Amino acid sequence: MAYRVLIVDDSPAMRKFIRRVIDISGFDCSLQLEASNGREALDVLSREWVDLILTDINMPVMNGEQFLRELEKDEALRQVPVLVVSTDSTLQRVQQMLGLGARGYVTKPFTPEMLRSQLERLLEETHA
Amino acid sequence: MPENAASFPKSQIERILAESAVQVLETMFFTLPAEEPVEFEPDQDIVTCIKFRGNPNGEFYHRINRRAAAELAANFLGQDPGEEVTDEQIYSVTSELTNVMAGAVLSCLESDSLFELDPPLSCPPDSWSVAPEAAFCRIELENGRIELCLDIKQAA
Repeated sequence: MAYRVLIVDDSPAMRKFIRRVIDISGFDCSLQLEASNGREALDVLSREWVDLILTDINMPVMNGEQFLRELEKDEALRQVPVLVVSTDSTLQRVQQMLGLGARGYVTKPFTPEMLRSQLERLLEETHA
Repeated sequence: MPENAASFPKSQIERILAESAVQVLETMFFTLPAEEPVEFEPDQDIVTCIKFRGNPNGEFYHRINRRAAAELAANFLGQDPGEEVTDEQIYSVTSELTNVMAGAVLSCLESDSLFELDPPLSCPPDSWSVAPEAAFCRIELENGRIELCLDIKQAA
């Protein structure tokens, strides 16, 4: 099954890197959509359906924390698994984001294998 | 009481700086540091700064020569051999490198408390200076070097 993924990060370079890492990892992905902040991501999600969202935390306009709060308000969107991809690996931040509804957390720097295992775990849990 | 960066000896912070940077370079930029210092033609430097707020506050500085930055950008973006990277790509990727290195270092130093990173700021090359009390490390690359400086401003 090929999955549809939304990548949310304010850095175009990081979005390109994540796209490439997903390709390298062999994760079966039919569509990779992009947004540069939470607000843009909500716009994308109003038009497109996705299986999985990867989001940064520190972003202008609407950060990752605000984005997660918005997703939680929507009955359909709260079902979409969210993987946080951040430089911040402090326990408090991880707990905060998981408490807001994120289903997984990957810390930069990460390898393609680390990302793939997280993506697969999330999708297995979601479709179990 | 949890430790914070202000309570770490400078030598330990410098070790964390170096180890975190090497891990970032290997994992996301597919680059290993040179084992010996390498002579390279001097070229333009790129200096980036990130302010952070937490326990404690401070600034993280990153200096890299342009040739090394271009190679790292090409690796990060997966450019084909010979495909040139643009100035915009070089600065964008250098900002991201600074961001990831700062986050990795601060996650080690401030593991018990939340911290906030400001967006990376590009600084004039001649603004680079290392305060005597700041932690510093230098990593040699095949065609240049990376220098990092962590300046802790205050303990909370």
